[in-house]
Amino acid sequence: MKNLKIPTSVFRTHRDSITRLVSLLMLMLIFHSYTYAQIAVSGKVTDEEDGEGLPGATVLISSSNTGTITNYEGNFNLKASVGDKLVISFIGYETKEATVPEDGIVNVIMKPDIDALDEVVVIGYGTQRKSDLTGSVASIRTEDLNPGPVVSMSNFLQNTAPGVVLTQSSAQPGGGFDVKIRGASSVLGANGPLYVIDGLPITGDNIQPGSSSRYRSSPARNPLNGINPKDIVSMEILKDASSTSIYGARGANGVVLITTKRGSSGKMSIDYSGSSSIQQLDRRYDMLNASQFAKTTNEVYIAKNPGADPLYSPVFINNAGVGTNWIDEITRLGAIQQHQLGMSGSINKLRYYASGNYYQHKGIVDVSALERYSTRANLDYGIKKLKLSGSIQLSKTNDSQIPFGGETKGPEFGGLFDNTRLWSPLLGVRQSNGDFSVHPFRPEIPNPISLLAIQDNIETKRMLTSFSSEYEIVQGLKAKLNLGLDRSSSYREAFIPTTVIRGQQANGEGEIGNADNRNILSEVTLSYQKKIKENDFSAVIGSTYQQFDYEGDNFLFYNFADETTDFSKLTDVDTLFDQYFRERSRLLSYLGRFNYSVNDKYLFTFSFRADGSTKFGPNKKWGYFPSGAVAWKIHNENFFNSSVIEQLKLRASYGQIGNQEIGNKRSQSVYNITRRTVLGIDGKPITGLAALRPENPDLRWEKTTQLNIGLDFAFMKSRIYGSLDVYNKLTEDVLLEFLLPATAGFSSITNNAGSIQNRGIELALTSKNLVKELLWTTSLNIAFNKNQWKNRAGYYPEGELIAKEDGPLSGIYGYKVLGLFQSEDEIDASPDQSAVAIAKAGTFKYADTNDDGIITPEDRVLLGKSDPDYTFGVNNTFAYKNFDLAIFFQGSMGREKENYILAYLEDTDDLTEGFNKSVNVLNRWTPTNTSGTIPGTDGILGGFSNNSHYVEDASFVRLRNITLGYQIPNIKWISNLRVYADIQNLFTWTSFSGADPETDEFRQYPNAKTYTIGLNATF
Amino acid sequence: MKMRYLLTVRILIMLVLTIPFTGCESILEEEVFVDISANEFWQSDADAITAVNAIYAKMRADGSVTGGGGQQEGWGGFGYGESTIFNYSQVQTDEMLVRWSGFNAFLNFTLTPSSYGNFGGLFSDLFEGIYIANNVLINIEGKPNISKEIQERVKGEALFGRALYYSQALSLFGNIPKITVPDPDPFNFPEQVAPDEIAQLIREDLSAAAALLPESYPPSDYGRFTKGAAFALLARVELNQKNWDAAIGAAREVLTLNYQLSTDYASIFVIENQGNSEILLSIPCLAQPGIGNTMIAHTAEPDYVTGSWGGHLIRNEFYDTFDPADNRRKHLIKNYTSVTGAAKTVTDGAIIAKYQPDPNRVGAYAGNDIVLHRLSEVYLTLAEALNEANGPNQESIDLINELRDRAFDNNISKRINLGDFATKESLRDHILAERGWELFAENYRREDLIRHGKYVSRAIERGVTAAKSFHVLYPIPQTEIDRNTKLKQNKGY
Repeated sequence: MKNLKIPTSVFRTHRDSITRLVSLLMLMLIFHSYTYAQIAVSGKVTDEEDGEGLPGATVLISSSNTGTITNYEGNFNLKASVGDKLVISFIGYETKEATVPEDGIVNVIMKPDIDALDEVVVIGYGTQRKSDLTGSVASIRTEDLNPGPVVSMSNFLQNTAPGVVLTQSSAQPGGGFDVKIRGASSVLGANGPLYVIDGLPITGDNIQPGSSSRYRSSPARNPLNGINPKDIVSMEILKDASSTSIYGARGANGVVLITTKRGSSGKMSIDYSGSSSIQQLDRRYDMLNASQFAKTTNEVYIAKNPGADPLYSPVFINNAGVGTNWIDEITRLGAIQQHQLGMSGSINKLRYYASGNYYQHKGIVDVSALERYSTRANLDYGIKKLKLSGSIQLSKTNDSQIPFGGETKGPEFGGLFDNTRLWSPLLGVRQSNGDFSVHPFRPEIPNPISLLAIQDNIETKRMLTSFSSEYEIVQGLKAKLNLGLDRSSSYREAFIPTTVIRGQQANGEGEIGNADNRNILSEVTLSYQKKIKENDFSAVIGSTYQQFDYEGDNFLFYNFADETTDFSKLTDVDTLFDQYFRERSRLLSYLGRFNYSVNDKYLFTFSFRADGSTKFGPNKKWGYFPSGAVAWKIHNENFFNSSVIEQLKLRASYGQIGNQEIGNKRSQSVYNITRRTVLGIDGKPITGLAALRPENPDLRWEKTTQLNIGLDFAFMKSRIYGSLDVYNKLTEDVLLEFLLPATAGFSSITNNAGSIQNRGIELALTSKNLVKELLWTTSLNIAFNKNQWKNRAGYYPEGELIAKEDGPLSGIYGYKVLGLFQSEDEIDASPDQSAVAIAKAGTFKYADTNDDGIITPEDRVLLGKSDPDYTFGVNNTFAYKNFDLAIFFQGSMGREKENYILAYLEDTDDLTEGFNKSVNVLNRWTPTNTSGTIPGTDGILGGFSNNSHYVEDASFVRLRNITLGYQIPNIKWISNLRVYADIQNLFTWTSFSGADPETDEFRQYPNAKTYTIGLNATF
Repeated sequence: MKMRYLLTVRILIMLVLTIPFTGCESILEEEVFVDISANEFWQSDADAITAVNAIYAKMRADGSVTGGGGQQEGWGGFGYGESTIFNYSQVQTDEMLVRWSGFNAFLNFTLTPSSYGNFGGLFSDLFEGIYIANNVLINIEGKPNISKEIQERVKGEALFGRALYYSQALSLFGNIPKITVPDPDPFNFPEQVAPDEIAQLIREDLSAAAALLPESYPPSDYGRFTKGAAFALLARVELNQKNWDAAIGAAREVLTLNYQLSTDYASIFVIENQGNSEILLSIPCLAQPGIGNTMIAHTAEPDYVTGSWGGHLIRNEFYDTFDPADNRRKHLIKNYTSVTGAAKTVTDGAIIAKYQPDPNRVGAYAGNDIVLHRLSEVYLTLAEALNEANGPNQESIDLINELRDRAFDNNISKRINLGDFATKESLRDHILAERGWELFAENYRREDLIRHGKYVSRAIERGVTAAKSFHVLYPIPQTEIDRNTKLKQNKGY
């Protein structure tokens, strides 16, 4: 019988860096005072199983943190002092330690690590061995992830753990991400997870000042950009109710715990990592070139004006060539560089980690850029029973934004990207006198290149700081005080000069915005740990208080005296309006968790949290969130006897969690400034106050009940290991914004109603395919999620009354297109669709889905959904001698997207007004091209949207990263030096015809391929 | 020893559970900054005045009270954006056309409950205005810290505001709910009432408002609703209801007040038109984004008034009905000199240059106050009501001639004579034409044509084959019926 013993010591396994630091600290305490003269040390590292040498194993002198790597035969040479501790580690093997003997010969036999996953992972308000987890927790160590340029920690979540769906919403520098863990469960509230950095929960809300102007309403950049991801050592993703209920009212969308690097004991070690990248435009819309434009314009013009002379002569068309390609005029090669310098070590009992980081990204679209400076210091001090820790991170981020334009389709509202598509290729960028060219038919629509003169810069400063003290009162009983502050101040300055039409109208338009966010935490916890024979018991209780303040203002100016953008000269301008915002919310909570295990076979966890929030109605201030979990380590049972299976653990958890992430002031009726008007003979602007919304004293949390059943397994000497989880999440009392009829006096009211279900399966699997000279490891994660309404409670977004009760949250509804009408006869023989769309030969023929003989809004059906059926990530890593190669594929399957812009780009009607169209229109239906598949709208007012023609399969598979690295051996003073090259987004496989299957289609910032070279060095 | 530890543990647990914040529930009470909590409002004269100011702000703002709506501030309600009374009252008439294809549904009478698009906000704007007025009326009563004088005035302003919004809702949509006290349960939706009930409510509100409102205000409050405006609006509503005697009574009340015709037609619409002796009600404007007058920008060619869009025009057929000597036609531009000095002609209509272009305008926003009620309209109302009540009469003729004298530089040959009108019908036809010449582009044409029974017939005459008798009312937006299923759509849609 092989009864595998799982080690009980927290310090037994070492690849987790936290554990390593702790063990190094202990070693240092013991050996610190001994010093010997350095001697030559040599030896061989061999595999216990076959006795052969292990190439590529790391041999580290723990006192200096310097070392070497074994050669092809497994031999190594280095200088060390007699008595020095050597730490020998290799992937897939247990880490060994050896003391340097006087003869300097150290031979080490490495034992395959059959318990590879027994790392210590961070859980809410504590840590736990992974093997003792009862809930569903995914752990990501950043050293395992792609080394390409990463601006924020969000990049680390990119399909690296099953059930975490990360969608990049904008490809602009530092663009936002949409993160969903186990599907969307909220309509009004946020669907992103709660982020907790070193114990301080932060909000994922946008922290930059907004703007009133369509030229400045760019999609928000990622609010996490102000936190340097290179300081992060690990991230834990809590998914099931058992692990998230200790975060109560903020746990329903999952919790991401972030741990930053901390100082190790011993000599100072210095790390440098740097990379440099170039970026290239990936995909784009194909628009008509000048010659195609002129020819097609002629066709449309003649269709509209039968018998008229064509606008462009055949000679003109032949000589027109490609003309201006507007997207080329605004794009460039992008560039990214990043540098990180870190140092860590200890002085007496003070351990320190300090870093500085610089990140600079010049986007592929002119002007757009991001630049960040950040610095961090983490200090830990321990004497006897007292442990003190302090952290501070300071960062400054400069964002240069571009005028994206409004959220409404059509030229009048368009910004930079719309206008690059709409402007005729026949027009040059500038007129002969040097002025920007003017649209011949619609002079109010600005030249796209002129829009690049708009300046819109945001400077954001962020300080994250925390302090904690822990005291061990009696053995096993610890009290901890934790204080934290996250403060960000953001300043936005924008200017539209008079060379842009809008700026010309206002004689220069400027805007200044400020946003100041403060989040303070004060928390006391008490933890206890006790082992009595085979009974392991641990508990934590605590109370925590958090306050979130937001303050901001916006000033709009016009009538600038000159072309200066020097905002200190604002005495020369008129203030149009100023707005001031201030909000506060508070959260007062009590929490607790009890863990109990018997014989290392049966594990029990009970957690709870009580949250009181200012956001909810006076009748429903408090929410209570309990959960329970059990786990059974089958492999530790006496009856279990397998030579192949080393680990088999069954887990089950059930509990309740909440979501409170809605805006403030929704439960009470407040008076708010409506708009302005003017009174008085001399004309004085005045404002009026009116009630903002009806009160709802019963407004309360969304409540999610989640059942999770999971299995952790390891086979074949842990060559294959992984986890399988199934879950069922039911969210009730969904927070919904019900639209009210106009007669109510308010447009909407926030109320709890209805329910939403998310069900899914997640698999994470790692296989060490080859473990000898050539290492090859494959990691796969795949997650299926089905999201649907269980009860809509009469809630339908505007225009979606047709939505079926059990449809998906992200459903896209509209008319089903059967094809194009070929003739008037066919129109007469078909159901009348005049109530909803034009019916002419060459236009869409809609399906009468309810067979009532007429096309009405009732005929709209579900055409797709934007959330995927399943997502996956596959990472293959290879290592041979000093080379390493990683190939990471990412996929998001079974999702649809509305190709919004196509409805405009395929409608030829306004081609004669000088608006360019997609090359698709070359295959449009005309009386002479009846096989055309694009609606023939020559001379017909189009306006077709909201139908299946524009809803496309947006599934995609991306070769997200391919990385080749080389470890340069044997360099003096440098213990580790690695150079690498990386390509991001090299290939994308998709049938989506728009510019990008992933990013937001309407306010499109083109996606890029990124080519990087970089190096990491440790001194 | 062990006891001491246990005690320590117990104290610690107590501390953990009670420290940060000793069980105080008040910490969970939501604080309100910038905005004002409903419990803390209605405490002073200033509160009452800022509350009633929202009624004025709503007159030019569109979208919801919360600031949605998708259009720019100052373009809604009585302004010149898409979902405005201006468009609803004129674009379906013989007076006006719009070049932009987005207006085709209005021009062709093909608007459906679901096809309002950007034009759909007016229904909710009117009811939001009604809500704001109701909210003032239910809160202003018996507040000890608000002076009696301000209570009365604000109540008068709110009653007028409610009547103003209801008069438009009644005219445009006909079958609407009557709400005077908002239901405390926001999910308890109201039903429609007979149009007569709404008319009666307007009548009562305006009579009460006329008794409460002052005849005029100190200069700093110019623009607020006055007694004169209340009688003028009442006269207009009664005229549309064909209550001739009531219309005569209300119009005569206006004539007793201190207003007089401006000597010069153009001066009513100049940039500095505030305080003009003829104006009964206007929306004061400044040449600033959001609070300016955008009329000229909506109609002028960009090379006539820079920054304009040239969409709304007076129809050529309507232009041709003017006597060429009529000063009022000078406000319709067929020929102009462009900013580059070129001679230009507008062929498809005439630019509506009623408001003098403001050289200091910012973007589209000019400083001319938007005129909503003026004395000459009251003259024409009185003339029409007298004719309807009594047939052709000298008083009606004299009232009209006062306006014609001004329009034709006191050329008495242009006067009309009682002898020219043998029948009530013939004078009625002249009054309709005179109203067109005097009041074009001032939001009257639709009501006038409907009252005279010519709204649909004139549409058919100009080739709008889709026009049917039910089009005298607009469809209730489908979104409103979706939200309140008790509402019934107007007949025909």
